[in-house]
Amino acid sequence: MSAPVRTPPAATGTEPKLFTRNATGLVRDLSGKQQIVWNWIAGAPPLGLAFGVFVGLTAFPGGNVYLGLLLTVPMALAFCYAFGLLTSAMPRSGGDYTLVSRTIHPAIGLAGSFCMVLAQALGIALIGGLLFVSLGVSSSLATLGLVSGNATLLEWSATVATSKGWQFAIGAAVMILGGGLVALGWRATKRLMFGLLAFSLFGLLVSVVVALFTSRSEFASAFDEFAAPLTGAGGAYEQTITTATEAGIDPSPGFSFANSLPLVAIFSSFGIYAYITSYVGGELRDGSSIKTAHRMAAAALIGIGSMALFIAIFFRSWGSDFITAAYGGGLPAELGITPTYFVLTSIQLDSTVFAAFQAVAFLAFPPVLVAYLLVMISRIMFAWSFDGLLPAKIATVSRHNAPVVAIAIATGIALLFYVWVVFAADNIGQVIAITTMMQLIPMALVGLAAVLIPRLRPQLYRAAATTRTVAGIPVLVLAGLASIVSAAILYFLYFDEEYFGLGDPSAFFALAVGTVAAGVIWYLAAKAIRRREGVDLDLVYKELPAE
Amino acid sequence: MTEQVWDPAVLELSDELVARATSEGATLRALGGVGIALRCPSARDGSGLARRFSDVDFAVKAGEQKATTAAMGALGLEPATRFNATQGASRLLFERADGLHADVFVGRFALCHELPLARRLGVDDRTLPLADLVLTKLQVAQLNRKDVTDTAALLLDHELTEDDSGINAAYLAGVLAGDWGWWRTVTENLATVRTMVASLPVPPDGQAVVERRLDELEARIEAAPKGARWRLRARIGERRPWRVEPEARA
Repeated sequence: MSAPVRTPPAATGTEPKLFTRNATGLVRDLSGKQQIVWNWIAGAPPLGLAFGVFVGLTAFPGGNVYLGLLLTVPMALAFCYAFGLLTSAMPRSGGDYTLVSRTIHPAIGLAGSFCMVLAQALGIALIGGLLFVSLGVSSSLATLGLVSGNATLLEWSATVATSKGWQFAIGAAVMILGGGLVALGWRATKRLMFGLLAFSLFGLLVSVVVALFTSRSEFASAFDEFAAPLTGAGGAYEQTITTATEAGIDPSPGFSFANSLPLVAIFSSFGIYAYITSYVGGELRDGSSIKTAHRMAAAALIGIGSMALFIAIFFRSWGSDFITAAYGGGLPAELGITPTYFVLTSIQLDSTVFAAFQAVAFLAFPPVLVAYLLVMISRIMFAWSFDGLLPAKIATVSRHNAPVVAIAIATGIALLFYVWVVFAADNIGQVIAITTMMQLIPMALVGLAAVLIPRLRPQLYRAAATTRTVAGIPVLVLAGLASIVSAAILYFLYFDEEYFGLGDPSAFFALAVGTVAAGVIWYLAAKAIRRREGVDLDLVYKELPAE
Repeated sequence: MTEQVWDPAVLELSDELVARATSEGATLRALGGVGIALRCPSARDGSGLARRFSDVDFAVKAGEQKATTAAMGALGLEPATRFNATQGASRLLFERADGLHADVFVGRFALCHELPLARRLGVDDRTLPLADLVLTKLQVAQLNRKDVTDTAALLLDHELTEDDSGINAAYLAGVLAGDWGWWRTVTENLATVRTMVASLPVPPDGQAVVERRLDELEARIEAAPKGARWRLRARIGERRPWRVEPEARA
């Protein structure tokens, strides 16, 4: 029952090989395949396709989505290899906090991870709250109401779309549900998350397959037939394009390279986070091997590649001009729907049962993402607690080994942000941009750690899965440099494009500087308190504790 | 890890921990070398198959981690806090001041192969059932001398039976009939044990007993009806990995 040490005694004659082992072995929880899926969840294809991708068509006319996705690939890979290779050197929980605090300085690591926790809590508020309610619940009720002819459902849809109270109540319920999912314990959480994810992706795949076997004329005809009783006229498909055109949207613009670049900023909001297993680094099978980084890269490539494939299928079946016009506000007002993939497929098939299936499948995804982000935050808090920056109570686990205290705190922070998102924020695009930009701070710091580790922590660097060089420069350093450059490009795009609502960056900078300062102050205060207790916090960061 | 000299106090400690865990509400059972020594006279001090213990291994039901931690703490075994917080859904680690380690498998035994234990923990009052002790020894990808010695002790001291009064051959064969990977590893290791028996410090009549029971066990394993899943996996054979390689936990 012990771990194999690969030094079998020399076998002689017919004597079978026997081995020696020093300690009981260990099989860590997240297998290779699960790691790829875990990292891939961050790409969030259902949400990306429902919201991110097609919104960019109207915001940046002429922008080529495939080029935008292609340009996102090197950025995604840079972050994957910076995180992945550093994690192979330090396979411990905590992600950016652990990697930066052990390489550069604990205060910088803590400051960066404060930004990460804030970004993830905002992400939970956005995904589990607002997008779930507006894209999911409201659209699903509207579609079901239209397909089944049930006026009550249509009324409920309108209520949910307009009532901030309902938006908060439903979103908060999803966040608490996500917290409850994680509180069931790691095994149950994994099982439920993978189950809900599979169901949600099945819904998406059904939509894609239906589109694959539907010609544009067939879709247009089905859409016209569905809309006719509601609009009192035929030709709703063409009318959608006409209405958008009259409103100033160009549904068939020529190619624009300049407008393809900002699409990278939109795609980065879901396409560059395939490094998430770094946060459960101690739970990865083969965590100290190069496979850790390759699995992140594989997840990023599968995520972006599948996104491109699905877009191509939807464009061919529904028409890119129709999709652009629909997202640009051209749909008949009588329909009152958001043209997400599951809505359009439900309309095409005009079946109540199918519409219900598609709605439930889509609604299954946000709780998965909420639970996933809560696991990530709880692991960061664990790492803080283990290092003595937070009370040990934070790392308390339930009888099912669920980090209940950390989950409760993370859910509470997310709910506070959700109050702001629902009742105070007036530009959701801006909130998404701020969330991404806050997250880019620790991501860039991990890039910096990758650049500096050969110089600052040579022993740790030698423990990384590879110390290969290209033109004399370590691969890890190159990945780190590429991460920093990627973060800088994204910052430029967010500030440069009016669409993201950051024309006056002072609010963002106040938030970023305030969060970083809070992290540094927290570290200094914790260090002083621990010193009084006879603990030198600086020494904690010189080692990697067993995990 | 400190190599412990054979010490009957470790067996006593195991029994104390099991009793303490029971009082805390946990179904803790010993396995590994200590578990086998508790069940096999030939693996105890003064006998040919006695050996040193490098650590003490246990299994407990999922959801009983807190009670287990309390029991360990009461007897001077401190939890590996960081490890237990992140890995405690499947594994717990404890260490005594003198360097003795205790490993606890939670809910299932998972190394090269996985063995669900929830329904098996109540069979015996001190250890895993004998058949499970055999399986946990023979599931390793790289058998060592301790595994061979422990397996021989189990086969020497216990009959093959149809229930858990001895080595439950029906249950054991059933586990292997349900999973080709399990079957592949165990049958390979049984062959190794057979080859090594002669080199063990067991009297000739004892060796004959072990060999006879090996014959019986192999026959039971081969006779057990295999399902469609087993046969499909068998057709793929060794072209795909059939077991997990555990990593070293120093």
